[in-house]
Amino acid sequence: MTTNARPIPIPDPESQPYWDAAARHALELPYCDACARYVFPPRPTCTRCLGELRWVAMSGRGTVYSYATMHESYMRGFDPPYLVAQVELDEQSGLRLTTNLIDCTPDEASIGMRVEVAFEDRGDGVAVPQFRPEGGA
Amino acid sequence: MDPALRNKTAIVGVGYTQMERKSGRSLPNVAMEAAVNAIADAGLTPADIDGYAGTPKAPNASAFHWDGVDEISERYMGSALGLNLRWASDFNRGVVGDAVAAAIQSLVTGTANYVLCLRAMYERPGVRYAASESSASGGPEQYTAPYGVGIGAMALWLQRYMHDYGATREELFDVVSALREHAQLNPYAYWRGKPLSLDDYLSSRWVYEPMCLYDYDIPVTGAGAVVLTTADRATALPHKPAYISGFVSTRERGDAIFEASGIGREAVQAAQLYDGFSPVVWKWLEELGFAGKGEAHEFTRNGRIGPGGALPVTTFGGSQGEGRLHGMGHVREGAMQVMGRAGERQVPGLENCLVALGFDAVPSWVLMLSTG
Repeated sequence: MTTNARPIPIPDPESQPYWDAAARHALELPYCDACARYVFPPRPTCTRCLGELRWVAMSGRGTVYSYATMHESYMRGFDPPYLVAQVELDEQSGLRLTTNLIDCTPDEASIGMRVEVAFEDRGDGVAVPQFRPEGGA
Repeated sequence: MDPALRNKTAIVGVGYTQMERKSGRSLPNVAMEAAVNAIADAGLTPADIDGYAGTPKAPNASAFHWDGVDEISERYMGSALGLNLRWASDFNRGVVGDAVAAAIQSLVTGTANYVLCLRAMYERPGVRYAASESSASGGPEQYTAPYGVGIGAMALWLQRYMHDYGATREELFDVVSALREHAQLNPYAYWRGKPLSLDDYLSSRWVYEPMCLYDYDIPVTGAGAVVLTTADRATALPHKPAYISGFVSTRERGDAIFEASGIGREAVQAAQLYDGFSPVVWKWLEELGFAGKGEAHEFTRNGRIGPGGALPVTTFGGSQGEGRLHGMGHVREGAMQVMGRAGERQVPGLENCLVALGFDAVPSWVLMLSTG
């Protein structure tokens, strides 16, 4: 890895399945069957009923809830400008991931835009979910 | 808050330093100046101070977290000032509300009689304040740092707010401009003597678009301190006390401060609203009910929150105009307005001043200060 590589996540026991799935280029989130509800970020149990959670594969599709264009190089590995977004996943209202929008210029980005997950490999078996316009390459 | 606690405690002394950028002054140097000034301003000596509530955290990505270098603890200050403390605590969230609330609680429970609260900030020369060289991030940052998100959450909020309510950057300048105009009247403000035009604002560089350079507070080396005591002790001291009429956690709904203090929204003559990011002022105006949901961008038009406006907001210039003390400037200014000591900034006839600290990402406290 080069010294200006992008930051990688450090998983903890609650988030390990999330990052393990990402490494396989799959988006999975913890789900409570009793409440029929996803929990993110991952917690030891359901945040409503404190019941057991199981990891469920997501469609990887959603809409842009909001976005911003970063113009400063505060974070290593990122060359501005780049797009940061909150993507609301199709499976549940209010279920949002902070992510990057890729394959999309700042002028093309919009709130409500349809997006799908894409994975960026960061080396050493680590990958992170990002989002690109739906139906992209 | 139990209404029986209204006006049982007061701010009786304030101290502060000039706000400077990469000044070469050390953190203990500015911390001591503010603390010594606050104690003397209260008509006390260090021997009288028996309680201390600190806010040491350096929240910037490039911080060392070294006591006496870029953070300063109750142990350091207690030792440096030679205090005989019966009680002291440091609070881990950067915004000063927790320390002020703990000071009030210590006074009403008799844990301490004279409490010093301090916030000191240090901008290390040669280092980009917000830059992160971290190659790996855990905890909540595992979901943000891999995307190059450092201080971006407020920009995401703003983009959505502009989309939902039709707010514009010209309207956000109404907030930035009001803070800058207030700062012109504050001798300690970093931006004193440096007005900002709409053209300056619109042509400044982006940080997280739609937020530009002037939508962020200004990191400084500087410090502020206040001394609190009980109401019965306060009356024996030199200044008119700034009574704590109410204090509520930001976990409570926005109108809780008016019920707690018995001072209604319409009786508030100035509000010191936390302004670490300019959109936070809009969030506070809506949360506290001064403006309806989605309407703060209209409320702040036409100089309404500026000097001489119908509701002067953050009358010392705030974290944006004076410098980033994470709310200690707001507490100090609220007290000075109530004491009638705000000089050119004084809001005529002011009896009640609200102080709102923190924002959604950093829960804190709302205070109502009054002449009692």
